[in-house]
Amino acid sequence: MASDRTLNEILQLKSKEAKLLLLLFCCDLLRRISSLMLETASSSIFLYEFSGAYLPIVFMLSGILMSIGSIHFIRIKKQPGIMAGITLMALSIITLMLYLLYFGQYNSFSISSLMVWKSVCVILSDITFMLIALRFCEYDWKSWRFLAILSTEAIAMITSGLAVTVLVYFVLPINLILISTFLLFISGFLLYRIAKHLDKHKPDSSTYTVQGIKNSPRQIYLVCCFFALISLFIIGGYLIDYVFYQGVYAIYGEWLSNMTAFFAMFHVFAGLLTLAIILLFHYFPWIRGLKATILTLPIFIFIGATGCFLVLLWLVSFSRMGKDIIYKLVLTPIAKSFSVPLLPSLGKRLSAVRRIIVEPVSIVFAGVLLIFIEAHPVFWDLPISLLIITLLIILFAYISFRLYTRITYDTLMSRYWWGGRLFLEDKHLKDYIEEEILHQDVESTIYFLRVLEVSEHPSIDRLLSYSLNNSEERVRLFALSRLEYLKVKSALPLILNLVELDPSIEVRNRALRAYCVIGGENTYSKVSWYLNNPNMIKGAAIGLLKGGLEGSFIASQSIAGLINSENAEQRLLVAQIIGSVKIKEYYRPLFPLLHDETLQVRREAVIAAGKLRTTKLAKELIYALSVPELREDATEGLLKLDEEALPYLKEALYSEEHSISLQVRLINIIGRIGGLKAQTILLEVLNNSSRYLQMVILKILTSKDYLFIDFGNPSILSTHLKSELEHLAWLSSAENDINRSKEEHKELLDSVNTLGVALAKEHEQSEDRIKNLKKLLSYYGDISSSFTLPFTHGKKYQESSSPFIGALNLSDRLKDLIYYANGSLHSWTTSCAVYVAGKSQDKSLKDVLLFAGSNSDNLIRETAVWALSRVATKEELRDFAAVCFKDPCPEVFRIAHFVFD
Amino acid sequence: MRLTFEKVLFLKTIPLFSGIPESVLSDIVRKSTDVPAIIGSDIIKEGGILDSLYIIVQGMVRFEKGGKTIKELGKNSFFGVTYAFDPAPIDLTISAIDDTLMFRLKGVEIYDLINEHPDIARALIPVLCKRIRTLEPENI
Repeated sequence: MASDRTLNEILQLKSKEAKLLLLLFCCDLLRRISSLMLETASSSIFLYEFSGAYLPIVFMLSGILMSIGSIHFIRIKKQPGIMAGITLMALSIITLMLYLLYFGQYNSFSISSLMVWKSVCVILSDITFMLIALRFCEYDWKSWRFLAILSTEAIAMITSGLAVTVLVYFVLPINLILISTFLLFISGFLLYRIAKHLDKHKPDSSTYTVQGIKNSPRQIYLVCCFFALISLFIIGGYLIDYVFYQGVYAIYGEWLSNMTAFFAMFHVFAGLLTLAIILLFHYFPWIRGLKATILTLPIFIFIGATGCFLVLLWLVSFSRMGKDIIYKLVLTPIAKSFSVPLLPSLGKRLSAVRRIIVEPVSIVFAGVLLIFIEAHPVFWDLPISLLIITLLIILFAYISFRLYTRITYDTLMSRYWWGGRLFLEDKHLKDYIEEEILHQDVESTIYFLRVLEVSEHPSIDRLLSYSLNNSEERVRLFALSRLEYLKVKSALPLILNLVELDPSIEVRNRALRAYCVIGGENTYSKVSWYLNNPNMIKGAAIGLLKGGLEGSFIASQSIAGLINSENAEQRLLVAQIIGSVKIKEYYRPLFPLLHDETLQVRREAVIAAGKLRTTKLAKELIYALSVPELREDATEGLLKLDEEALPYLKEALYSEEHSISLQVRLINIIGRIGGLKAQTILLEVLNNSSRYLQMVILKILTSKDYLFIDFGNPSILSTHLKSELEHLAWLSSAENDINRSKEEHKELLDSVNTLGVALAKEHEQSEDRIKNLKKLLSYYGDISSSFTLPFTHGKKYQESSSPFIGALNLSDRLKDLIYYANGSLHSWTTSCAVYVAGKSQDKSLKDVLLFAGSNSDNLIRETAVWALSRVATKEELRDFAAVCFKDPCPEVFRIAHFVFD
Repeated sequence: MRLTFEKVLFLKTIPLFSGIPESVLSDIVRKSTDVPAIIGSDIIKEGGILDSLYIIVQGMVRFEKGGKTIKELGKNSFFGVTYAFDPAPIDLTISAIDDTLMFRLKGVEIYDLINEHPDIARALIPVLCKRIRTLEPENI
């Protein structure tokens, strides 16, 4: 599709102006490339975990498509088409090169620097665009038409920026597309009408000759159209961002919207600046006389200087000192002042992949469209261009809409499977879910009902009532439980219907309970009738007990009868009823049941005691720990009491009547409860207990401090921390190994071996790793207010919270391991310890290694000979060497000759 | 000079051996021979008999046929597992393209080890099956 026309002819530009337009185009492209880099870099954090295989493909495709665009430019003969083509080609190559440079270098610095760069480029390219347009037009400054063009653009820019900002909090994306495009086209239409009006009433035809080129309303409209398209794509970019942010919105919540608003505000700012420039030009006419190059030079100098500065920072960042400076002096203040997290943790796999695919595609799409519009006269025809653009907008809106719903749905379903927190504020999303309830399986229906309830959907009552007719028993049970919780009186007739007619006894019981709780006193007489029905007594009793004093009084007689029943099943029923009621004050009936002769009844009573969460039963639960069949439920019950259980647990721990195994369980429960109080108790016990208990406590405390590390996230930080944990966990586990029974031995051994390998391999760098770790942590401590560490549970690491880091003296632990290893520890674990001792070159370990040198295991002896050569001189080991030279094992003999000869 | 312990550590990083107990790995190490190869040297020439399992400890080797590179293997890779059980001449040349160190386990030694430790067979059989499946996908 080669064209013989020059770009100048097509665009009706003078040569200098064409160059400026080209610069503008390049500037815009620069921004888009930086945007691409940013998006890809941030996404790659997550793509890293599945090898990042998509990234090269995306970049290669972007490069190829940009090259195709550049070829098209080159085919437009003469300058500046060739120049534009070459520039594009160069930029596509630079994109690929930048990618290669950045590949594997994804860290918070590179991402943050790109983010800053992107922001600067966004605003500067917008300003530059306007300045060049200003120079390009050179209309009469007092002309309405000129002011109308620029004002329209400025207003469109502000409107779209504001619309994006508002959208983030209140409006749906689909509405934004319509609103923004509508505003843009209204502006364009008005402009067209103004121009036409001026054309019609022109006093003198020379008014319409700009720099020797005849002007017309159509051309004015086309200029406007060009502006509108640019704005449209800017909005489109935001929208795509927004759509995908929405996809992960449910996961990461509010700060994503702040982020989007942050960029949208740049847009508003650019619009305001444009207006300021117009006013400046209007009131200071001498500026108009300046050449375009002079006008734009400061901007380009600023862009260049910023780019150079950032590249310099990037290069400096390779050194540790450079990173220190950048983090402390540059990025931290920027991040703090704008509340921008330095390491954005965006999205999950699905969203991340889509984002990095859509972004380049949209860029290429925008580029190709612009090229076609610029190069093909058919687009200069007003009706056709209007038609095409309208169609494109509809298509764009439709795709966005589909993507939005699909991604949101996927994300929600993912959240369902992960069982995570929801963050829902979007009306459209709620409506969508409502729609989905009618067509989903049991799990999804229950899940969506939950979502709607959490988000306080206005029609949740109606939907829950509707779900009572669901064919699935689980859905009906769920709906009943929620209706009871929400006390939806309008559902009473339907619930009563279930009580009488539902085929499932469980549903009927549940319905009866809900009927009683929702209906209150008016229903007691009807419900109490069911107390005589053995199949329905459970639902009736629970409903009455939950109903209040009067209901409790009615139910108490039946309950008392059941407790004293000789039938174990009836006593079991009481425990279930008390557990379901979950009212602390009803704990008394559980005392006899906790000592019931039937184990099953006792077990149910323990479960019920846990559900009541009352400290009155804490001692009973502790007592139940000594019964193997009740242990698990008793533990759960104590854990539910949380910190309230700690005094009782502590008391039991100091009680001499409890066995060691029970004490270990108590310690483990304290450890699982966690918190400062638990830590205090454990530290207290640590100083006053046997070595075995000390080991157990030490293991809990050391692991407790590290439990919040997210091993699933392979970020640089977690890798560091993981290595550190492996180091400590290996030692801790190996210590415990000494005291473990044979049954537990094998399972532990596997992990010890794995960790031992990691430790032994990395021990030589451990000092550096610890230093790095501390340094990293100090950075994160400084910016903790705005920084999300890749930890689960949202906790932050505090060095001081781990009193055992310092206490874990490597030499002491190694001594313990090797001495204790005499027969009780697996030879490989001992070998690991001996090897680490050798690597440490700690002379104080000489004796312990000599001890290992006399071990019966060949591997330990061989390793010990080598290790000794690193901690002692040949003279010191003369006697030992003489023994080694007579060793029957060829490997020991060989290594002895190697190190002692 | 490498310790037996270090060699065992190395073997544990190779998926083929990761499930084998360390005591067995120690025996494997003791039965194996260190085979160094300087850069550019041929490990086995075309037509030569391959009768051992080679595990690359460091460096890199190249498989060439008629001057064309078939594949290259680096650290932690192994080759010759099928030939160790059934020695045969090979129609390609294996050469070192870097200073390379390998552990060599002859077929006879592997059979001895399997007799002593059936765990080794359990580790090797899936590898062999995978190779057969790759070569003859239609044989289910």
